[in-house]
Amino acid sequence: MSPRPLLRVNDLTKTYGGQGLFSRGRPVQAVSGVSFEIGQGETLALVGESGCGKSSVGRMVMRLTEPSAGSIEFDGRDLAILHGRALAAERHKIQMVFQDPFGSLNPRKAVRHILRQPLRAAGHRGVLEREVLGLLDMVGLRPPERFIDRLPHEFSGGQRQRIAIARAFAMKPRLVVADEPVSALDVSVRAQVLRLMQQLQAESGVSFLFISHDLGVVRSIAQRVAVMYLGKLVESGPVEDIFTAPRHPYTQALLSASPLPDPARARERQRILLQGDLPSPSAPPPGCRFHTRCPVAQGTCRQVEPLLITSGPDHLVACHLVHPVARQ
Amino acid sequence: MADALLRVEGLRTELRTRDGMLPAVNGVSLHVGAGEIVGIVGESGCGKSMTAMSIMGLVPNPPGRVTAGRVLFDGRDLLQITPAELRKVRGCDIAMIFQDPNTFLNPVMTVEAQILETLKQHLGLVGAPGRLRVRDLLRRVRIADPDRVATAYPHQLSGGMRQRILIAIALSCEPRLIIADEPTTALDVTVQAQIMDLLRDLVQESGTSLLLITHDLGLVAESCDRVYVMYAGRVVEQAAAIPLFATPRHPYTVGLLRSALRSDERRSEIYALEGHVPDLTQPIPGCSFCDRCSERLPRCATEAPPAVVLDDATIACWRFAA
Repeated sequence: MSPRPLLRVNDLTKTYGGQGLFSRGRPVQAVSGVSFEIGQGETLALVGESGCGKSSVGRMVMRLTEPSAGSIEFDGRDLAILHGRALAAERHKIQMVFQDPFGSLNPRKAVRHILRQPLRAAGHRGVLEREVLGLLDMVGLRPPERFIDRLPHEFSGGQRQRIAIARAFAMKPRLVVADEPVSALDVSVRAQVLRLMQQLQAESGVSFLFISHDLGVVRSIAQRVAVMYLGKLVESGPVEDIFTAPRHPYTQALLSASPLPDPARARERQRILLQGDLPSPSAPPPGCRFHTRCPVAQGTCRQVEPLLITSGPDHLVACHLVHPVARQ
Repeated sequence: MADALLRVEGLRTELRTRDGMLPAVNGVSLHVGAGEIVGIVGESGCGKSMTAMSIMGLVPNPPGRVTAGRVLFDGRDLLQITPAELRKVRGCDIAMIFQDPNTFLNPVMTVEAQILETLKQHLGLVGAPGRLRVRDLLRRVRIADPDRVATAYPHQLSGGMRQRILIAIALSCEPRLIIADEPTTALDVTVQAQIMDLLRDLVQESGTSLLLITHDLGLVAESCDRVYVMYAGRVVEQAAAIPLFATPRHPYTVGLLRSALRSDERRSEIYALEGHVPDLTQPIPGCSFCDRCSERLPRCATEAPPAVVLDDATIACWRFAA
């Protein structure tokens, strides 16, 4: 029997707009029936291109965005029905790290203040100098005394992301939702921040919901991967299964489009070039949402929406070619 | 080497900042042959974009100023010619593609009107022949329905489509060199793959040279014949793409490649190049990578390493200067 997962997301759906004074036209279903689980100390990577709904999922897990439907069970409790104090208590245990640390750190407050805030929210009182210094030290800003009174703009991008991580870990979270945490960083700084995240995970047993479009990063940081396309999960499974034997044509195309820093291998590999752009999420294609760009789409794909079905241990795929309709 | 289309020698571009003079480009030499795809790769602040801007004579002054060097295009020094002559070269012989097409497309002009503007400016093409040429260019950048796209406004098009328009404008005068500065950074990976494919095809079709400036090691590896690696305003290593990635020699290149995560292998342990880029407003007497380098020698801190030619590669490192 597998232990209870830390986070269980069930049939999560988010619809934007469609009614109200200023909205025109059709509602946009940004996320449509997404389900997944994250175990204790595990990293699940949510991958996909812009507009696929991966960030919306992250925001709903944080309850920064209200889900339109579905449930979010954290440590056995349904977050979607919690409100007020009860929600606040649970939310301490889930923290978020955003892509742009410039946008998420108050530019007028020194680091001392930025990091004291979450400690106070967690019930600590007093000046908290020692605790703040401890946090800075934990994220590798050493010696911490040198950094504590600086303002965010005095830090480099990588250092700011370390502060954002320190702030998230100040609450001793059990789950951290990291939305493209290293996308704005340079290669060498990216590796530094990822190493820090791995090290903090090893020490604290925290779980990560790691939202990223960068498959190179995902392969080394995640244990499991879920691939989204236009608001739906198309494939999910253990990281090595997804990368070595992707089954959904979109996953295959995404992998083959990911640039390889290896000219010899990059030039000999078979590329799958997708035609066209992503359709608008406000008018997703009927049937399989990927069929307009799929190199192997068939008649059924244009009419019937494929279900997410098991195709191996912990490996789910939503594709008619993997699971012909007759057998569904 | 002798017949290089573009040859940059000892280029130095300084920026005046609040903290003092910053040599954003510090003695860069490079060349691009006819029909060659050459990459400049490096992390932010390494001077790669400023190098491109300096070549094109687009360094904003103030705060920037090209203070030394030569930019020989087809034998003519672009730093010495008059602004009017430079305008003729720019956009005609040398075209540029930038990261964000939104900044360079006029939101209140149709695609057709914008391409026509370039055609009129440089080739004197107007009216029906001009419009025909617009459709032609749109087809060349693999736009399936040129009539619809020609009459569209930029906001009606996707990011990938807008980048194609920018490429069409760049191609409008049959340039001999295209400088592409992070042309796909704002795009999704599947669209990025389409655009890079298109650029490679166009270069092959027309014999144009391409100078690709990017932070993405993967893009360089997939597209470029030859690569310059920049760090802190200097070229630290130059080599053909395949040997550069297979056997990098400069410690910075080695570290950069080791810390790049790739989708075709899982690293059980992520390697990180520790430290950060030095403050360039302070004079650096030695090698600018010296305090992050695990292989530094005593003289690295005091003397800047010369560029050493080794096989077909160039490396600026004391380890190789002996």
